[in-house]
Amino acid sequence: MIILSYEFFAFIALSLAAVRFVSGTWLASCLLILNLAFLWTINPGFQTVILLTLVGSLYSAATMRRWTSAGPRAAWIVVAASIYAFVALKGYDFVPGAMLAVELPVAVGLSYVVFRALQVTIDSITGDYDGRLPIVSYLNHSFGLLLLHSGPIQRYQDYKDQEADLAHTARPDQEVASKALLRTTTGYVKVVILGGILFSLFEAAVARTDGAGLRTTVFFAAATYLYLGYLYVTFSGHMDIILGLGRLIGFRYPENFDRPWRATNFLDIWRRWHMTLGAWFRVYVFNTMAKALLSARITARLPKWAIRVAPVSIASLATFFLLGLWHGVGLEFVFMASVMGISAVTVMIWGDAFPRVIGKKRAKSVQHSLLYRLSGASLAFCALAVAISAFWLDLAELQAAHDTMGTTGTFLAIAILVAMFLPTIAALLLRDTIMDRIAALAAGLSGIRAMRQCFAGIQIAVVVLFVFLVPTDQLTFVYEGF
Amino acid sequence: MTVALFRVAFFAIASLGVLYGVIAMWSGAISYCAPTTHVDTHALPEERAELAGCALNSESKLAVFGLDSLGRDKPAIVFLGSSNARDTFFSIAGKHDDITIHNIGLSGSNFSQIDDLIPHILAARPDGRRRDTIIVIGISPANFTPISIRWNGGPSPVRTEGRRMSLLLEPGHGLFDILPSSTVMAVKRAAKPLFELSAQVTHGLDRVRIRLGAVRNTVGLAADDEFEDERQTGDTDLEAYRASHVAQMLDRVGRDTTLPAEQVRALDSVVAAIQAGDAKVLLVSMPIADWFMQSVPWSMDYVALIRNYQNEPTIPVLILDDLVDDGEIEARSYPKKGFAERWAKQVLSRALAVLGSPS
Repeated sequence: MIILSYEFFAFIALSLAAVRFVSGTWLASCLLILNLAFLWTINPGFQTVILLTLVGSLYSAATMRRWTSAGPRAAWIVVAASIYAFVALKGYDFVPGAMLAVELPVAVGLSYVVFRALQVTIDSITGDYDGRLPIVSYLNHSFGLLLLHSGPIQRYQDYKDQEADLAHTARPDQEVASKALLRTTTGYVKVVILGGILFSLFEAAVARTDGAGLRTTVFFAAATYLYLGYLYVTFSGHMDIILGLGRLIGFRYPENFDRPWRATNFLDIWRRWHMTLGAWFRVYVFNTMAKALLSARITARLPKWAIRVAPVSIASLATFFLLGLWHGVGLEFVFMASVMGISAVTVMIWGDAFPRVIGKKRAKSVQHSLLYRLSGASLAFCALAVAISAFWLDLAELQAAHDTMGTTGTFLAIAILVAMFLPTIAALLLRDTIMDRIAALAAGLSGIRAMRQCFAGIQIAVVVLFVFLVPTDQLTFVYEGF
Repeated sequence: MTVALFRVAFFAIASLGVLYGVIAMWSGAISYCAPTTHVDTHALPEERAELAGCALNSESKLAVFGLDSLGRDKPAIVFLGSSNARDTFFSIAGKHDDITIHNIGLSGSNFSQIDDLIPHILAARPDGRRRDTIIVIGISPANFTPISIRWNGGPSPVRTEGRRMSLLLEPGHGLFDILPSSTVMAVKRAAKPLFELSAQVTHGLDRVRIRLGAVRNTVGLAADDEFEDERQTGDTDLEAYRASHVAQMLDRVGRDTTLPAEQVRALDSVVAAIQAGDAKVLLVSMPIADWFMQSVPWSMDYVALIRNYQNEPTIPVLILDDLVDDGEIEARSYPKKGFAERWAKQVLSRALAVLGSPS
């Protein structure tokens, strides 16, 4: 796991030293050297060259209109070619030409690097961003060592201001540093300890799914539930580490999670889970497609209800389908994409139909009730958990699981899953209330800073002991392969 | 910011000290389940419940963290290899007055894993006694199974164990190669209370699992995953038994007749590391049943490789297969009951000859 490697710690220490001792315009160059050196460390050789070539192409597309007379069409062609190269490099089973890349191991961070570079490139071509685009800053944004292997996907517009400020503003004070360190160590506790425990429980549940009957169904549901829990604690823990360390260096990276259990439906989850990726797809896929569909001539000929529902549903279906495919290359990710797309469209149609059927006022009051919100969240998490089962079951195994359980068993497993999420979400909402009260009370305490530092130290000690007892090879993080 | 960093570091070190102190005070309630005069992976209990109560409860853990007895100020013979070596040399382990004999055969080992183990063994020997150390490598065709098949492309169990607190204990990384070997051994000793904690937790969880019927109490945990090795009995259908062994092997290693170069390099590296560490080496080609040898895809290459080693004047080689009758072999490559000692003594006498008179 990258965040436990001493290469990672060494580069963080060097970045902190750079920010502390280098000033002015040299700082960006210094960070670039560190970012590229770290990129080379985790992607030695050819993979780094490929990543640099890909990002270099996107940079040339972004700046094309500044140094050539070529119109945006040429830039779009470069973007399309880069996207195709990205798809081929990922090695999608069902994309022609992808087999060319099969022999090449996928570079760590490929998806995140390309999506950050695409963001600023697309904005530059469309004119949404027309500011300066220095290559050093562009490369630092794409290859930032903290953001490399699991995001978040920060917008360049936000990044460049922070990078500029970094050279001139004061370093984080003790208060900020204490909070950042506590957040970082909390992230390590989540990733290493909670993630390790949940993954062991998940493996134990999977090991008990080899039979038939009710027992298998129950353990399948349990495994699906536990995997989602494992994915959440490791991913959000990673974000705590990245955002905490980023804050220590001087960056304010965007949040990627916002208490997803507060979501009331599947669409809402994606505003709270992997938020920066969700936002990327919303801006560059959903909005673009929905606008195009709404202004299409054929749409005008549709009945009123269809105009209201069809364009956004189609855009939503396509967006979530692509979002699903972003997560993996095997055919099982087509299953994932389908579950996500269908779930999103179902929520949209339900959201449109429900108030019409029972009346707007009544619908509003029902939608605000705790039971409705809990049920909605549980169903949404069930859909998410089923979709991400593609991470641990390939298509043949998914089919085998369905064959073993039968249609009734599959529905029963889904019902069990919903029943498991219901109390979990209720408990998490209760925890939020308690933690918010504690935080409000603690904020007024005089020794709170020292307590934060002490607690961070204790967390480090516990993680160090845990890492010793459980060799780190047994700790995995699925997004590291992206 | 710097003040906050230092304070957090201080609290982390202090907490570690307190936690370690509590664990160390509490420890001692559990045994290491291994002899203290020598290392013997064969001595690990086979009963799951009994084994779960051991602090060093796997072969690889014992091989990395249980090497204290190698530090004794005596000449030493260390037997390495896979389960057939382990099940042969246990018969003489610890049974010599002037020399300590250690049996560190690891189930299903390939040469990459043995290569991972050598630095740990050399670090465990006192500096002045490495010259009086001979490391005997039991070689079989199965030891050449590539990492991609044997360890699914990942690290071997020995390397995984070494990666605990990798800053200190992983050879080739961090501080292992920089610190004096006595410090490395002290760190390993200091780690033992943590294993006791780990073992207690494992033991407790295991008891719960057994009570819930999730696992049976008869299966050992110690042996790292190896080829399924149901031993031959009087009732066994011989043809079916042999066919299943061959099918199992071909299923795992394929039908490529070339000896995997990666493992040949690993064996070369093992020999080079031992010699560079001032110790002596003896390669022993372990007995293999004829019926099995004929079905090994790379048997021709294997025989040629052993012959090449025989032609190397600096690397002593013993073909134990030539000294053993096929009727003494059980399963593919194990000594039948009562023959282990005879095999082991033949190797021992050659090892003593190579070792020469201790300095």
